[in-house]
Amino acid sequence: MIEVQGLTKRFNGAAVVDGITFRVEKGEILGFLGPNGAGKTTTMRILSCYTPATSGTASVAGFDCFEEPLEVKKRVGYLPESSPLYKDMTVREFLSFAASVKGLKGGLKKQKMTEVMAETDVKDMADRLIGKLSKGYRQRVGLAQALINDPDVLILDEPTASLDPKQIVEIRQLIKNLSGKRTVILSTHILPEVSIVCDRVVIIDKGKVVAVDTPQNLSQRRQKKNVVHLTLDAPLEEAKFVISSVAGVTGLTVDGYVKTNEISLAVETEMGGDVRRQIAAAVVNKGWGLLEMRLALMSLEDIFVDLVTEEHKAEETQLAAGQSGGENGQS
Amino acid sequence: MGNLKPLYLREVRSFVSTPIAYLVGVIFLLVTGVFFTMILLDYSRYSFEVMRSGGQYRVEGLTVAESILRPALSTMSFLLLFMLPMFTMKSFSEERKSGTIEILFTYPLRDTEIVLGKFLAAFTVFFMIAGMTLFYQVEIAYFRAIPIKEILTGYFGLALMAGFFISVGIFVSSLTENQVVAGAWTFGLNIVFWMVGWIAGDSQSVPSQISKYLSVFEHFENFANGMVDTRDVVYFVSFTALFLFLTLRVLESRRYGS
Repeated sequence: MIEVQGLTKRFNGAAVVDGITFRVEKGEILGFLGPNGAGKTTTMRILSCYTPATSGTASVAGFDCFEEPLEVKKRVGYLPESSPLYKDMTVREFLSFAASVKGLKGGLKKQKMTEVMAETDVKDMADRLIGKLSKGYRQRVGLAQALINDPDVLILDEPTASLDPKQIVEIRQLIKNLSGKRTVILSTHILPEVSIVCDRVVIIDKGKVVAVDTPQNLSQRRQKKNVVHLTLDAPLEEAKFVISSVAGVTGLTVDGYVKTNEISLAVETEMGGDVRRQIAAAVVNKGWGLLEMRLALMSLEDIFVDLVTEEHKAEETQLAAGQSGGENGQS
Repeated sequence: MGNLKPLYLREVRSFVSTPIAYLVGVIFLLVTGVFFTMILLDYSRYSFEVMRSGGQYRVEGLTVAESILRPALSTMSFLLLFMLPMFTMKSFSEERKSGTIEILFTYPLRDTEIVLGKFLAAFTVFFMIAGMTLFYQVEIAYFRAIPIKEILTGYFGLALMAGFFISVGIFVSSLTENQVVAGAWTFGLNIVFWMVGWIAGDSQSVPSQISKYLSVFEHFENFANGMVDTRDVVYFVSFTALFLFLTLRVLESRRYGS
């Protein structure tokens, strides 16, 4: 449905998006993940035909974003970051404008407006000025205008940014409900969001794709160690000694604060090694209180940080190699 | 061009929903009304004196068209210099500042439709306000026959000139995010186009001929005098088209930038 090949965008010579390649299948929800300034918004702007790429190609539903922008625009519903809308219009007026501009007329237009207002739950606000709406409702109206002509593709730039927790849950549910029928690309820098909503993740950093996979695969593939979180009622130094001498334990750190009768430890083991039974036995043996024990999987957060730092390291080595090579050449 | 209508209606709506159009309209009508009253009083006093002198001072140029319509048109055209920048200053500046331009540019619309929608909406608002001053002209019927042909010619020139100022305003507005800057620059440019002919004086040299040709004032004078000259029409229409075309180019280049 969406194909991006070697997409590059430069502003004054600096590449904001640097040779990105990925594709999205029909009906898929793709998460676009990256730190601020990674090039997420720029990529989405290219896909929605707001700005042309410097090089590379992007196509939506078989139409090239640069060659046939009108055809692409007809098939894409786009929600820009922070959902800029005409504040001097009411919700109904604005949706009516969006519908007309997207080619809906008469009865069909009315029907679609009713449908979309129900879907995004803005019916009660239909005759309020958009400028007077809360951020959450404005975001819904933003979604409503993107959905109005039943587009094949939805491009949502940070749809949950600056919403309160309740609104975030609602918007996520809304996006989930849209899946199956439509292809969705959404960007975010909130990691759990991706594992909740998306089928596949593209992680980008500094304009480059760092990883593309399902959230599950990503966490499995990157997992190098298991971590067991422990809370004990025990003397700290002795506990550290006893636990680290349990067979299979490769590392141990004191986790968070230490209270008189409560210490928290993070115990690392090899991938696949499970030492919970041994630890429990050792604790019981000593007569300490075992208050909590839990096996932590590597979170998407860890993977993300892992991937991004790895990338930066690789870059530095390359740079260092390049420099020393240059020096050699000169001497 | 099928999308021109919803765009145009949205633009008109945004004029109607903000106080600026009303404010500017009221001030315009008030000032032109005061001037018109003064012009009428002058005319009636003058003609009364001429009448009392028993035809001794029969002076040239006491036609209704020349002594009422012409000064009225001058007043209005001068007021438009101040008024129209206020209509156009927000057209693209505000869209850019509030980010709605991103919505507009990702809808299936052509840039031409967007620019024309804005142009026609501003023109409509001008047309409605200026149209109301036609009621003033009806007052002439109190004294003499209404010079319909001259009125139509004068207002036609006024409309052409308004189109010119509006296109300048939309062009300037596409260059900046700041409405006030857009308004000030538009006003400045309008003034330059208005006065550029004045430096020419009576000289027949090429530069002064050019400056006269560029002058809005020179071209408008002919309409105010009741003459429709194709050259004047061509001047206004082509400059309006030029500035709208430049706006399209700015939009295009901005798209690459950010």
